[in-house]
Amino acid sequence: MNSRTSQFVCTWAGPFGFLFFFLGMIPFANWVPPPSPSLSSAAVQALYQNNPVGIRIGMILVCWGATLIAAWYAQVAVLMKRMEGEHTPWLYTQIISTTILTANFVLGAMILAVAAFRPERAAEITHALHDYGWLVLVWPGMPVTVGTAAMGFAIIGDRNPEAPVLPRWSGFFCVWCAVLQFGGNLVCMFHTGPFAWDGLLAYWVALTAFTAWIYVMSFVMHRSLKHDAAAALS
Amino acid sequence: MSRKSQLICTWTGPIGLVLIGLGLGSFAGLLPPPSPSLPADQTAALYADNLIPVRIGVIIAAYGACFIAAFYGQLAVLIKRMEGPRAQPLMWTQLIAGTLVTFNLQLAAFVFGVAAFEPTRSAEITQSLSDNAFLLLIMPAMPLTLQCLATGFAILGDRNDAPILPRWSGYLTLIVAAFVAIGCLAPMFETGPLAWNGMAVFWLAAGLKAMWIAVLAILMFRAIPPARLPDKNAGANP
Repeated sequence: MNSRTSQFVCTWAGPFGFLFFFLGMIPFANWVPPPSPSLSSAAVQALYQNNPVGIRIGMILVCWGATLIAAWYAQVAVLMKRMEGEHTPWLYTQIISTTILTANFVLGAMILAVAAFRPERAAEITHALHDYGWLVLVWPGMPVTVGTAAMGFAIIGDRNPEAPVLPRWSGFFCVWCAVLQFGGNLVCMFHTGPFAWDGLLAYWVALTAFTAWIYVMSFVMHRSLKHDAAAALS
Repeated sequence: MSRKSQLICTWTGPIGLVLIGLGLGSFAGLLPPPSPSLPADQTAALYADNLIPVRIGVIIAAYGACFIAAFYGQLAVLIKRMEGPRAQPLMWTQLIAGTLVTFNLQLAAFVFGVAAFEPTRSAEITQSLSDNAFLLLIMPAMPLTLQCLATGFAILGDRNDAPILPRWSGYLTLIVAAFVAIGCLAPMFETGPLAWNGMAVFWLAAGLKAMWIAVLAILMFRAIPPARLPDKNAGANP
């Protein structure tokens, strides 16, 4: 596999991983829209007792999806290295924070699978694990903000001003997506309302911004690779 | 841009430390840590009596943890210069171990938040979550030791005629590595110097780590090339 093929594969691992994520969350776990954080322990236990197998399969798919997105972040790192030149602080910042983000997604899904592992246990314990899993899954606005902003700063400060690796507007787009995902930061504060983990800002706006970010950036990255391929041929 | 980026990424270390102290200490009141031998109802009361400050504090602390990611990124930039252009095994070791350190710290803040999320649940469950969070905060000495060893050996093995960071900071880093390793014993003890609130594990190990970041940050500011010198790499990527 030559380098360009690898780069195309890693570019599309992101959107492909997202499909796994949605497949796990929607048909299997049936968690879009998410269960409300204000449910009683008995209602939470019923969620797991009614659908233990679906939740377990769904969480396996979410783990796969999050892990595939790691390859997409690796391709982002390849492009950022070309933007920053010799000294690459933003590149390393992006690698560390997106690894943390991926680890949070995998860990959150695994804790929800732990909750679904023994649906017959005391309702309160399942409820605590359910809170734990959902918070870890929706909360990580901090690594998202730092990682997305690092990517944006690297694009805006591209050292190849005549022929930037990625267009300048996509850097500002990254910074805006980092801002829009801020709602996720506050999920530990609220059981209801727009900042709860099923709320407008914490869930719907943040998830839409994240999805749009992955897909838009994938198209931009794909175009940059195709442009390079054309330049190499001519 | 590169010089400015490097300055920002160095500043994130001290800023992150302040945010962690502010969040977990001033807001949440969880630093210095309460005794591991506290009964369940008193542990649950730490969260239930202080619900909103704990929640705000852990958000601030999680931001602090993630800011330090950028500091470790800048440390990697410097270690790459120490190791030379051919291969950088210590830089990658530092980066991966630093990622694990950051992740554990951020996760600890999250689990404190989970413990404070539902004050009405039974005290024993809250205590389990609280134990989980304190052990995540104090116990990950393994990645931290590895990170310090990689950094220390890189500083001592610097290939440049004018070392990027002074040699004494390499020895200091190795000494810190030896002391922070004690933290891994935290799950073995409920009282005494090796418990998670003890003299050795908390005050010495966690204190030394904070001091190490502060000292390193000062030295790292001096290691960033000054702006007036033309960057020899400028224009190397047409």
